[in-house]
Amino acid sequence: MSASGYLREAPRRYRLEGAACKGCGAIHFPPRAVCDRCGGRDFEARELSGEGELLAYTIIRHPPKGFEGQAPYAIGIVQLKEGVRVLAQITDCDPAELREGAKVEAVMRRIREDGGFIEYGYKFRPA
Amino acid sequence: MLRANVPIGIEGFGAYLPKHRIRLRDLPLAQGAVPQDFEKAICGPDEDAITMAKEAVERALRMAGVGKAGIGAILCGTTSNPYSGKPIGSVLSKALGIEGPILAADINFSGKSCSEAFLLCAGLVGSGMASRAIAAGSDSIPWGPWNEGAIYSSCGAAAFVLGRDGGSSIASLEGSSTWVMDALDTWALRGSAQRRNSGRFAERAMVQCVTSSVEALLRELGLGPGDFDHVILPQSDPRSASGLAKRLGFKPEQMEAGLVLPKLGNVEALSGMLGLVAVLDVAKPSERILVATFGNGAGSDSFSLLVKDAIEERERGDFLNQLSRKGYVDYAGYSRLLLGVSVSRA
Ligand SMILES: [Zn+2]
Repeated sequence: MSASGYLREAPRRYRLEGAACKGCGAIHFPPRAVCDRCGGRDFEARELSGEGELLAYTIIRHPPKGFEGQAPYAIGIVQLKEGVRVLAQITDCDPAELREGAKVEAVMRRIREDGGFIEYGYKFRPA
Repeated sequence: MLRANVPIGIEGFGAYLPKHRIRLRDLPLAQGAVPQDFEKAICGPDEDAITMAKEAVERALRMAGVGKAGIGAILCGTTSNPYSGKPIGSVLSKALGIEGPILAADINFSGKSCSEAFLLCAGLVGSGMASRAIAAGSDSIPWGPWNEGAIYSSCGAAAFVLGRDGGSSIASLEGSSTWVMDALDTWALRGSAQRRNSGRFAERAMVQCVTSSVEALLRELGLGPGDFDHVILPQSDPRSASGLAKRLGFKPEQMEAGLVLPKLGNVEALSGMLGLVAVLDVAKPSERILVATFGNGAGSDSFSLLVKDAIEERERGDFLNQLSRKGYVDYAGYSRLLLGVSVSRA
């Protein structure tokens, strides 16, 4: 990933900044150009709570490049309080002890070091 | 004495501790040399001074409840920025959504970097250059794990939101003092992981700096050792705090709430300021707090705080909760974490 592309996405990577549709109030994460509920194109930035529930997860034992040191780790789908679903790494836990339905919260962590800089982004940890 | 033109207050405070701990007796070099029940924190494989600082600042802002408006500065004290050519402060400003006309800077390289950030923020608010300023401190273990001096080195972050003293502040800054003295007590050359120590001279430098700074503060404020309910003194090893207390006339019960070394180790740039967080977590209105910090080759800062009624309205106890929310790793796990490698076995 390029440094400029990374920084453009920083508001959502660092603090889960989504977009609230001014037409119908729907919240989108990641932000999008057109609201899939009302077709509106007018949004305002909305920081999501980061509080959610782990819907499903899987354990990665053979990680892709850049994630070697972190394996084994869990990747899960989290349903946020705002109704949005997010796919992210689950951190600060023993993957063997995770369970579906667990309460989780978002944190900013190191994702990987690639392209000569440190990528930070959201993960979830047991709440 | 350093005192701002307008009264300064703390509006919120917060800390972040990683969940991993190691008992010092499990470190090979430490066996027999350290108190058997001491432990310290170690970062997870995806944590560093930047991620920890962000969490501490968020917690401080949440307690302050003032939003992000009016924040004119964010200063971070650290000895372990993961970047050697890029400040933590600018990453924090983006992570918090306050990029723009903000003074963001790092205060580097000493055991009092966080108190330096704190006093500089007080100066910015006190001079009217900022309505509000965030003083943070964050450190991961900065030195080689097999270096003897690093036995107590630990990980964590703290943050304080400073503003004009008013109805919303939880503690007033009564005054501060500082003492700088060039000393080759403990130091490291750029690019070298080796920490050099001049032995007994190092202890003499600490005693001289801290007593000079604290005695000047007490004199200027017209206070004596008995006027403080809580006292936080430098605690880089088990002997330093008690030795300084004896010399300055403080009693063990004044030191109790702010002594975090046994449970947490020495989080270099902010060890004393984490002691302050521990005290603020339990302090009662009208109590007076003395904080004195020390940095090798950097001197000593000290300041006095008076706790206000508004502290009772805040949700507190987060630091103490984090102290007890922990999981132990053994020496193998500790070594893996120092290399940034996961310890889970699933
Ligand atoms: Zn819509």
